[in-house]
Amino acid sequence: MKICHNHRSCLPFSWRGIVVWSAFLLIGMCDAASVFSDEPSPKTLVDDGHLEQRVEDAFPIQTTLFLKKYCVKCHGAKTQEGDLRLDTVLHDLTDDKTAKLWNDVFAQVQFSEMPPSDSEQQPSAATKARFLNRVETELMRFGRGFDLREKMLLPQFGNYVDHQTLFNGTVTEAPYTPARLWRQRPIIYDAIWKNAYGRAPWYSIKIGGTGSHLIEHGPHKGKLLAHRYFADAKYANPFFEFVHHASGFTDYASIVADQSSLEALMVNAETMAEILTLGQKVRIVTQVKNKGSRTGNNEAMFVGGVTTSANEYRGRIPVIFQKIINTQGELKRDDFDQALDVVFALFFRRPPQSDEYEHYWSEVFQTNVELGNTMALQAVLIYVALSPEFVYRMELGLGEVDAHGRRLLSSHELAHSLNYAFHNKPTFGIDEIETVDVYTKDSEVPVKKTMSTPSPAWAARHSFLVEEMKAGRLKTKTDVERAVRRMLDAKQNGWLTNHNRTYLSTPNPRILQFFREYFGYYKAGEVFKDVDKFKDQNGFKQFTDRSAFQFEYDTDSLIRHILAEDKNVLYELLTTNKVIASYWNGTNPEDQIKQARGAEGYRETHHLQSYNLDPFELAYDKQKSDQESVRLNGKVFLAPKNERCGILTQPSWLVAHSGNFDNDPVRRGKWIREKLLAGIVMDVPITVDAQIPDDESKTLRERFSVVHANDCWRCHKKMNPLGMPFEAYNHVGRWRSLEKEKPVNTRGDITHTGVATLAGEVASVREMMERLAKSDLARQSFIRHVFRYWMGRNEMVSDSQTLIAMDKAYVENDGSFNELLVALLTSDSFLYRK
Amino acid sequence: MIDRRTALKGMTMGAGTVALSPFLQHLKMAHGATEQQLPKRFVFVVKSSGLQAEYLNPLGLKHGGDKLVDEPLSDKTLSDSMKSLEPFKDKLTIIQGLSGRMTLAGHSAFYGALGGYKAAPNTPPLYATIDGFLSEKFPSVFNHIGFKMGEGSQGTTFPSISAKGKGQQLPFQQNPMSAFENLFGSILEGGDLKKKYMRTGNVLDTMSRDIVKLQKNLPSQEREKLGHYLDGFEALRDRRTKLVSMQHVLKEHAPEIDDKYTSRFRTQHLEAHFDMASAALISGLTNVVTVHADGLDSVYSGIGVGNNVHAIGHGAGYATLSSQDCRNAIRTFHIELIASMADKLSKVPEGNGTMLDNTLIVYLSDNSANHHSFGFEWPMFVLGNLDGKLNSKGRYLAYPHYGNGNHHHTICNWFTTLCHLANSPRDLFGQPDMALGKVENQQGPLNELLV
Repeated sequence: MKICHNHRSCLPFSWRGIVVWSAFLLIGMCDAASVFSDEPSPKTLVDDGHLEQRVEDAFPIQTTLFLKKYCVKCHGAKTQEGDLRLDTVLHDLTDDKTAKLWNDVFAQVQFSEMPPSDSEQQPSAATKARFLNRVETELMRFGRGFDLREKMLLPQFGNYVDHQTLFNGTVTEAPYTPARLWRQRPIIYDAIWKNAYGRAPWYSIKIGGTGSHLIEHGPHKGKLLAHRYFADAKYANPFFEFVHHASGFTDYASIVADQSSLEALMVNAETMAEILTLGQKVRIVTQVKNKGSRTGNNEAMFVGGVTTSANEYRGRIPVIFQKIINTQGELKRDDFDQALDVVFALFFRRPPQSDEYEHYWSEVFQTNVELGNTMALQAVLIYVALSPEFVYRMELGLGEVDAHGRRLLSSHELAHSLNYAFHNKPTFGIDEIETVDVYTKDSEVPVKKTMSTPSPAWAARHSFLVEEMKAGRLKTKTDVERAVRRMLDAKQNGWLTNHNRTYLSTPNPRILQFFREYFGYYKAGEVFKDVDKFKDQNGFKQFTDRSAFQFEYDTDSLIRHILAEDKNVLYELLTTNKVIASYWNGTNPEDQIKQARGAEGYRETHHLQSYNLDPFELAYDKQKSDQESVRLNGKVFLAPKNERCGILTQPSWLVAHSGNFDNDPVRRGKWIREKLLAGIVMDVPITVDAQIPDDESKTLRERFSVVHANDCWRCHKKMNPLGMPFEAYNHVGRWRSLEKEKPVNTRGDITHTGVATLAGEVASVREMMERLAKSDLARQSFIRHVFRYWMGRNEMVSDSQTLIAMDKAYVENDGSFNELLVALLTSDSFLYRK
Repeated sequence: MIDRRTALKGMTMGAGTVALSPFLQHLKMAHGATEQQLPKRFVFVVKSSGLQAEYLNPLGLKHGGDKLVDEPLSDKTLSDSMKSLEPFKDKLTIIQGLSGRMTLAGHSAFYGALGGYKAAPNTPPLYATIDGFLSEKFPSVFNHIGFKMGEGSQGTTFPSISAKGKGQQLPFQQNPMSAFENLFGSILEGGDLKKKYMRTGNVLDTMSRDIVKLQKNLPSQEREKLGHYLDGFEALRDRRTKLVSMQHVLKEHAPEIDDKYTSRFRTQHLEAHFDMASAALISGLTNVVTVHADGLDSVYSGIGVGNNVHAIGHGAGYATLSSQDCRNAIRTFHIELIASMADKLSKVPEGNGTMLDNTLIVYLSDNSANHHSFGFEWPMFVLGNLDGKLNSKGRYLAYPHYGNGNHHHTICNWFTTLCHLANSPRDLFGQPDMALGKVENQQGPLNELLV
């Protein structure tokens, strides 16, 4: 279909009723301040029972009381624990040192590190909140602080919302998400940009060597022609992929686009504007071979002969653009409007609204028209590709308003939100646009074929959600549930992943991506290991340059296998002894055994050895298996239960959470504390030189005994006892029974959870993981992370009802992850904005 | 020589006095600024296909195997390809023997060459490279300017050499005309380039006006979010305002657009790049420049080497020239361009000396010492000594060879040295080489080179 301005009704569905970006203007006019602002009024500074004071006096007076009551006992005149004295603390925040100290005090109190949990004097929640408010206000007054509200939006602060409050059912507030802008996901920018505008092509033509085409015309008639077209992606993604170590989630609505984004967008937009008006410039390098010259595999190997290079244009440009380019003098308004339809279809993937025609005509096109029609059209294209609507997706809630003042997402918004929940592709495709090929030269047949373009590079299909929207079936909670279930039902085609079939090519890539980001195992390849030394080291010989990447696919596959069964998903993820070796097809080829200098060499360097499994014992014939699943996916092996217990004992996870030369019990423990126990560990204080002593004769556990010193232990007690059981593995993830010739000590302890049934020492990883996997706390902590990932924000107290519903759906459906997701994606938190 | 008084007068009379241009600042500094206030400038000239170590050795000096060689250059004769640097011998440091095994050299180490880590061309950079890092430390109208000799069709390219942070590769100007437009566009009169410059300027103006309007009607938090983006527009507009305010000085220093800019010979593009780089430094447009001098497919027809760099690396010659002759010719050409840049900088007074006194020019390859490389040694030379802060008044420094017990000197130590010179000391810039043993022993700057 061609987009036609005069007959806009011929669009495949009506855009009427879809209120778009400019709707922000309307909403704003209602009463932005009352709807969105929850900033404390200056009055609250003094209006809480205290005498009214001047702002500058309020801070020392009010904070001194708190410090005196809760802090000075250990940080006063008599004792100064941690060399800190607070009875003489200064209050002038223009001073760097003082400001830094107050920031530290703020953090310690806010994160309940201080006063310590065993202290008799504990402030009430209200007192603590008042104190924090005072300190924060003062810090902000001097530009020294960090806005608490803003901070709580960052992924690393997700667990600061009280866990009990979220799940004990006392919160009755109707859940919602604040209206928001969400920066475009980098991978979606790629999907729009890469093929259409992000390539730098060059074309190699060789004449006179070997080739399949006999030249028919011109001076080289009768010679053979060989050719090859290259089009590497060459552009910078403007959106920085922000992965905070504490969260691991890459796509968060609190992330912003800034100047560096803009600079890259700008370079890209200028290139795009030329591609869409003139065509894609292709460098054609022609090499004519002569006697004695030789050619190689690529341009650079050509020696002798004659090389010429020329630039030609290829690609398709919209007919209406061509008309504008060819128009001398004043442009007809109608032509412009038609062109704007095309521009919007290409980038915003919606038609312009009536006021937008006028805006683009007078503010963008006319401002540039003195530079010529082509430049003015390019200006429109650049403007669109830099505009906030292209950079940020919006979730405003443009549907009906309910009794709680919440606004339902409109059909259009729902299509986006649901699509982005599962996919990394744009929601809306591009309807057919009438185009013309810019390459018109009558060159040799294969050259002409390569340089002409049958369909434009931007061609893209609508997602099925768009069809639902068009048919009016994306309006209610029931509609959403139907759509979500249909997406979850997508055909899976087995669970195996590898480098040719990564998580990105799975049917709903965002699901496996969640598990990758939650567990963080995919970072195994980023940990440098001294592979050369492993060749002679027992327990390490199986680890090669490729191992870390193969581990990643093993774990991807294992998770997909567990998701395919969709039963007690979290329990299985934390306790399974199943092993998948995604790169082994069950055979042990003779030539490889020979290459490894015999069976023993082959065995001990085999990938399965990373799981302490034997390739000869487990050999099987994949194709002849009577089970279809084995023929499709290969076999799932069972490791001894004491050796493998869930994702945290997969070599991928162990390596991703290890150092270059050692295990890393601290990071492992921190992971469990934060991801399974909804706990908080503060960042390493600046003064701490986080190093453990080297001592070849000692085990890592023994070397770690230094952190039992008081100052260190305050934080480390929350991590090390949870990380130590993983000493059952060497630092490339192979299970071991001995360390330094002594039986390895795998004892650990679950502490500081506030849950009596969880507490207590554990003898092994399995004992710890079994206990955790069965606990409410671990399950709910997992659910909080599911929420965070799919909502792109941290939980608020008002999300309590959603989280409880998710928990219930999961428990009542035998631990079904699908049901958990349905519960989230049909929740008020997901559907309503306020 | 610049007539500073005239320049200053022109500046104050111009419309652009609203924005204190970096040049103005730098003129102020020239008039009695303290040493700390003087800008530091860094130029990296990166060639492909390896920089052969032995061709940097002055007559009578060579690598000492397992011993450190530390000799003054004053009484030595520079190698043939470095002859053009004779006038700057007292500011020249030849550094041999640094290793870069933490990179993935081969045909190129890509970001690794200036970043000291494993990198590939088609994956986003993992960390900042040293030029990107320094460019953030010494910001200017353009924090970083990159040039890359290419076929000239593309305006901008991403050669996977420089990054200012994780996932943030830095663009390189390729086509000399569009580079000129970006840098000196504010002084253009007539023609398409001027039009493009105005077009983009108009878009920025309209957009920042529209964002302000939109912002007013957003929830407060989202207003801030959009604020960051708006700041970007403001910064770019500010850059353009500064460029306009610098018209006088830019006109004074901008190179003439001549045949080089549109030549069919890419070597002439490279000459144009060096001209623009010098002008950008002198006029204060930037403090950090990276010139990626060529690629494997580059052909130096303009200097009589009609074969491409890759073929030459594989042993092919051209006409009567052997492969080694070709390599020598290319290296000599690069060094002559560096010498002419140094010459220009040395003619601009600054502080108690000249601009060259506050500039370091580093010449090295993106692929260490050979066409096919493993990073065992990474030869380079450094021109300039940052007013004596780099401990060299003409020095030949060859660290013990890799594999020798005394060898723990890597390109990362050199980058760390640069960090120290930039007053941003750190333990190690880049990654350690695991095969060299403990990380602690590989940290720190090259102490020999610090005062």
